[in-house]
Amino acid sequence: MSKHSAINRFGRSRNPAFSRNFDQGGFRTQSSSEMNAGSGFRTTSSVAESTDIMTLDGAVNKTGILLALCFTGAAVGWNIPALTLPAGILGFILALVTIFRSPSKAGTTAPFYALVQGVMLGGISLMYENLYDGIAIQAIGLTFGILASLLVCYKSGLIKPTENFRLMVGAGIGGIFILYMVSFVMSFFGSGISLLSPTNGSLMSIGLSLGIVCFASLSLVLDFDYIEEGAEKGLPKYMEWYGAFSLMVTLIWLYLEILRLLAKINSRR
Amino acid sequence: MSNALIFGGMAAISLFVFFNLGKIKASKNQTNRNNRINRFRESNQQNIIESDYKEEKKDEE
Repeated sequence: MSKHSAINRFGRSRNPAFSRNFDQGGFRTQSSSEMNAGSGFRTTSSVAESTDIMTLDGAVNKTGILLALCFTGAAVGWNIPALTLPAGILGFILALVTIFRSPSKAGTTAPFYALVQGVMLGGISLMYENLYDGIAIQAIGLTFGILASLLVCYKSGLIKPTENFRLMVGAGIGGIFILYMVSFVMSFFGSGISLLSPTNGSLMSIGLSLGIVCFASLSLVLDFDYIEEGAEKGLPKYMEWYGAFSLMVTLIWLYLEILRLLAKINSRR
Repeated sequence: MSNALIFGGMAAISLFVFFNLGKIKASKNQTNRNNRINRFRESNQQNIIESDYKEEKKDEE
């Protein structure tokens, strides 16, 4: 009988004293649940290091910090609307840097991103508010309403994100992205896709906006799942910032789309 | 005014729900299922365990 029969029967010990790391020249003897093989993240079962792993608490608290920064920025943007465009461009660059260059630096870039995007949102909200009185608070209420209701659905297991779900949402977002890009390029030639215009109150246009709001909402579920899985797998602490950042990106997109949808509905009156 | 109260209240309640419910682990119905999204390539874990086993076997020899 091999000496591994005990391992096969009872599994590997979780006692940190019995674990060795690759870094120390030995081979790893940790339980599979504590390894994030292939993910590029190394976690150990050391008690001392347990504070350095991602938790749900941390991700939610960091989302709170980013939301507070976003509201602070919005107050600035509301009062100085001239900052809207530069803030939008800077926010876009910061988002690209965070996603593609340094997710591990999300703790530094994400707060700046939230602040700068807040400035942009403040300016855009003021623009819509001048068109339709009270539209901004409606959009804020609906955005957070969708956030909370989808979180309840996710936590209770009512909505179960699967690989197919992710593919469907990804394909939808890809299509929306192409639509945005075509509209953006067309705007250089003095035209654009009229269906995307906030003053277009046609049923087609409202339907399109509703569809985009649905996809933005569903991507919130993917963000919840990402954070939940990250905390389960014990990803590094900085992933809390990255999770909060991804939630912020989706929330900002959702808010802008709800604002556009409400403007379209109001333009029918 | 009532518009601001209704939607402001809705936002406040929703944020309260988010900050409380967000910190609670998802139900087993959500976490214990086979068709979860495998973002962190957990399937490779088996290979590492196998390689551990092989290394240990080498040591034994």
